[in-house]
Amino acid sequence: MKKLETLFSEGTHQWQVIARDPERASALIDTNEYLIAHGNEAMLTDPGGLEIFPVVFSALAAGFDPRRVKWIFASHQDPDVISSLSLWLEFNPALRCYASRIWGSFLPHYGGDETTFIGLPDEGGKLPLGGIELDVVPAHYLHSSGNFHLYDAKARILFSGDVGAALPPPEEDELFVTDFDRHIRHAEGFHRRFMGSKAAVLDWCERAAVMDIDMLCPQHGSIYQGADVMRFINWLSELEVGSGLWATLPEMKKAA
Amino acid sequence: MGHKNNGTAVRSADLHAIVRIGEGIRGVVDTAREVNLAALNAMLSSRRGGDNAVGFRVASAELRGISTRLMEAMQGLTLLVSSMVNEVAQRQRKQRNQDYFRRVQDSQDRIGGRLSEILGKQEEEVDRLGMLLGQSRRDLHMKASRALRLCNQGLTLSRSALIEAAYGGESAPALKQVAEQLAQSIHSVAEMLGGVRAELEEARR
Repeated sequence: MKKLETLFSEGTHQWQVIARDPERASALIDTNEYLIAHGNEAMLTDPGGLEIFPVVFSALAAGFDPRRVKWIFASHQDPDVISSLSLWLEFNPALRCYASRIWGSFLPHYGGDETTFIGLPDEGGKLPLGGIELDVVPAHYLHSSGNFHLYDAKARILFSGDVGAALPPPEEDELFVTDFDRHIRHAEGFHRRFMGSKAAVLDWCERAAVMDIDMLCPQHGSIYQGADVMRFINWLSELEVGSGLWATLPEMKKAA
Repeated sequence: MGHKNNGTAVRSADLHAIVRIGEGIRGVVDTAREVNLAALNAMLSSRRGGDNAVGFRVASAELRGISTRLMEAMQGLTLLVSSMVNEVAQRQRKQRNQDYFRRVQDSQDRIGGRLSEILGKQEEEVDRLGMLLGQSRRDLHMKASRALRLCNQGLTLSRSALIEAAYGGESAPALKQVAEQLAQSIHSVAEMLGGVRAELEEARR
């Protein structure tokens, strides 16, 4: 069963994570769903796939009133990110979903209609939440061609979608990274394969390096905090990505 | 998590039954087309038989008309099957959503009322779609029965064509051969339609 855990709390401003489901089917990748609340409103990031909806919803309802969730933020269009949308809409038809505008005609395949989606422009922007604003950070091609992260300057937390994701074995699957060198081995293959563009990686690293980040929260795997955030940004900036091409362009593998 | 249940198997059986009915209808259309061609061939052969083959010509022309009406009837059945696929798909989606909501555990009883309301609405919608599907099945059964009656007329006509072929004088052996081909084809159509109707009766149980 997943559990709702608090990452940040200051007055009505909160970050919580719905994470770790030891009972999930082994065919499903585990995901982290983040709940950002301020005042009377809340936003859920990457609410997950259809199959995990019951556990995500149950975990959320155990610690928070799900009727306060007014917004969904989809970092990109993958099924593990947002295929549960139709179920969330069934619970609250007034729910609105932010996602890159390039997915406007793709996401309705998961549910919703033209009133459900709020298309985000490539350059990002600000999202209102109960009286404060969150920053939409462009992360295109990391790994999706229309990809965004979400930064909360008040909590100094960056929700980073698939950037920072890791697939550790169950015995090392902790909520927070405790040993960066050990953890990053489980992130390496994923980033090499799923991130296709070095230019996109460097663009994101430059942007992230100047942000004031206490926690970097990926959709899969452990959360980076403190000095591990910058360690991760440096590690990623040096990583050769696009490993899918190594099969047909072996010289790229040698260079890496 | 991610478990398959009996409901999934039952729902998938609905769709499989419709697929089999659709295949049966396609088979009927193909064979009815063969009847149409065989009847045309019979009409041409009967010209060579002259006045002796007038009866055979009339029976062949009637058979050709029946095969055309059969093909038209099958178009109606095909449209009905398409709408049934849509109804089954919608019902499956609703039932699947219902499964997900049933698996939600509301330990705080924070939103129990809202969950009951959602489950109630889903139940109503599943029932409504089930009734719609039942009606479509009954329509399909009625249309298949009508087509089968048409086919029985065709079988009677093909027997008449066989009898008339015997009066075809010198052309009698050739007309008999054509008449036998016609009878065989219309018999195949009748068999296939019978299969479609049986499939429908099975699905109604």
